[in-house]
Amino acid sequence: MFCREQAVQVHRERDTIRERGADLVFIGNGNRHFAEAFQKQFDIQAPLYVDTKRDAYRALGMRRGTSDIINRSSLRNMVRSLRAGFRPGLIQGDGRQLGGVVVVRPGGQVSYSYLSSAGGDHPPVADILRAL
Amino acid sequence: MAAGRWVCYHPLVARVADEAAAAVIRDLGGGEHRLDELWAERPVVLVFLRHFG
Repeated sequence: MFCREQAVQVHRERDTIRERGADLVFIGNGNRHFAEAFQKQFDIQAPLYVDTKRDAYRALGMRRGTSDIINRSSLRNMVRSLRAGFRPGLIQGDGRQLGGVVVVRPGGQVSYSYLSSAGGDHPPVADILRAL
Repeated sequence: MAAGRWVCYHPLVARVADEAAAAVIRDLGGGEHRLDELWAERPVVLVFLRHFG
């Protein structure tokens, strides 16, 4: 549910991201068949990659663990997400992995990073756009 | 900046660590790519999803 919410919210701004000279890319940790289904279901018009070994997640310091998923913040975020109309689906990937958003410029300069600290902990899209 | 394994070469400029830049991801056709290919020419917004559920 949280991944759907985040993907849809950022994807809505894809044209703005392109107008600012950047690309939008989604990365998930499920296999590519899951990714294809996800892309079709939510009509994702941006490149989508898979990192089934979670090497990039690990290297970027993204959090993973049961206590990061099942906690008070996640429950609060779940209520927010449900109220926004998102519904949970089957877990297709590593259910204990948290995500994040990183904006990187050519040369590898990081102009923005947000590593989720709980399920549904997503950065405001406006903050991402400000980094471009 | 949130906690992570960034390598800082300058106090005001954080760069993606070599380990992350070299991480291999796959496109939906099965092709392998280094993560740093994604920012080779233009800035990129990388959205790491929890999973595909």
